[in-house]
Amino acid sequence: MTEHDSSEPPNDEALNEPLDADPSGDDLPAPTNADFLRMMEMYEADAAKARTAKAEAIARLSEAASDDEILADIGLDMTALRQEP
Amino acid sequence: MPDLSAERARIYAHEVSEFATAEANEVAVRLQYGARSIAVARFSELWPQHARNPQTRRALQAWYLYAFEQHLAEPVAGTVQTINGKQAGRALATVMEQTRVHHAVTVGVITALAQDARILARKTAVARGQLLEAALNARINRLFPLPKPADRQLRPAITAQWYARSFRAMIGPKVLDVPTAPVTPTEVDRVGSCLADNQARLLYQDGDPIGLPGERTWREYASWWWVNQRTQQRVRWLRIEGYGGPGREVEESKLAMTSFGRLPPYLQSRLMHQNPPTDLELNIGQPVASGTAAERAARMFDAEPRTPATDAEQGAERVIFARGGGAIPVRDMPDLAPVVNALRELQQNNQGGRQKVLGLAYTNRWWNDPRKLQQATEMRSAGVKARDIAAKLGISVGSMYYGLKTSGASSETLLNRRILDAQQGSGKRHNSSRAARTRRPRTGERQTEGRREGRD
Repeated sequence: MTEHDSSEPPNDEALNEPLDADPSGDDLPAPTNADFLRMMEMYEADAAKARTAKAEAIARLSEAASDDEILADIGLDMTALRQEP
Repeated sequence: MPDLSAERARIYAHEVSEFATAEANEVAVRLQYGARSIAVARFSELWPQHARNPQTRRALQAWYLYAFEQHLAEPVAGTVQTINGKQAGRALATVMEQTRVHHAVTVGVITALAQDARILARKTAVARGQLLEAALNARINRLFPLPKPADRQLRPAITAQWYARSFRAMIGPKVLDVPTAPVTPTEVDRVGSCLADNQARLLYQDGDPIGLPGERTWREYASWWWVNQRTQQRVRWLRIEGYGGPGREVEESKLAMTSFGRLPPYLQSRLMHQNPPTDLELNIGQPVASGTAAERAARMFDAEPRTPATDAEQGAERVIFARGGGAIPVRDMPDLAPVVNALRELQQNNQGGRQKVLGLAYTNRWWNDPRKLQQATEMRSAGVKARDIAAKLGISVGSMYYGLKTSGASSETLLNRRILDAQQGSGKRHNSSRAARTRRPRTGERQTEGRREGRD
């Protein structure tokens, strides 16, 4: 008979305690820093406006382009502008 | 080559700039959250998530992220204090309450984490800058592809550099801590006229725009504007910018009394953007004489010429520009040792209960020490009793067995006491074997015992 079944972790406090299921639930813990939160609030407001601004810029470019050749000539690929990489 | 009126060219220049600025604003959010994710992953490496004592771990994680976030928020918050007294005190109190470890040790942990966060923030900033430049090259190649005929490449090359210039003007002060003069209507006009004339004219030299106010002049102008506002007007402006408001009155009035040069960089940038100098007569630069279209367009803006995008740059573009984003790769991470050592000291001094600060045991297994492993193997081969080996190494008997098994360095022979005992022919072992046979088996042991006896 073996003294100890070494295929299992030993009854050692450092190694055999049950694991915490999810001690902090911190896959991505929420920010707490007031300055960071404020910055992100401002940046997100800018980003929200940016989405509209982008759509408007594309619309105005399409409107202004009376000729596809001109668009190509100044290097604007409208399909690429509308797509995400 | 199609004719392009100056008016239409100006509209194109304006819209491309607007588009680039909007993309930069979207990217800024992605970059800040992406950087924060690096700190979350770093802490999980320092103290794995399955570690015990969730309260202590959570308090230290919150402190670590707080310190890191403070560095990220520098463009808005201004000068960063590495140690925030109030927040550090909170973490300190929680850890001391949980572990009952001496103040000096706990302070060491708090300081080591803050230092690590500072170094990581610095390295992350460098990594973000490099990734962004790589992504930008891929981006302009995708949005503004160069046509085949060489004589038709100049306009697309100018448009691409113009996009990059407008993008950097927004992302520089906002995320990269690079002061950059905002794009002005005058500059838009000049790019428009270059597009219309199909001419690459020098707009920048030695980093400063020709005839346009440079960064320094611009700052002086914005500073003059700030100085000439009444305090109430400044407060109103801060509120419009989302900086003031209820609960921030003290900070708001303090900022309103601050000189322009001491304002947080983001606010300086906003002021500059909103108050461009208008009283300067602008000159038009000389045409760029030689080089490929890409080289001449780059020289217009005193920038690097675009190059065909590599696979790595296209990958960077997806990380930076795609909505789903991706992880920012940080090479050369800070040395783990200072924080790990501080956390180990906390663990060793822990008196708050045997399970309080044990999570680090996972990163500190005894068998990862080659010297100890060799010592244990040699002693076991020589027939030294398990409990004597364990006592010598300062570990439990169970841990000794588990370590030998897990390390893969030892055969079953070393683990099986019965074989060793048989080799040594000790009488005591019979007693213990008899005791084991006569002892009443615990629940769940009967079947195992039976199988073992049958096998014997």
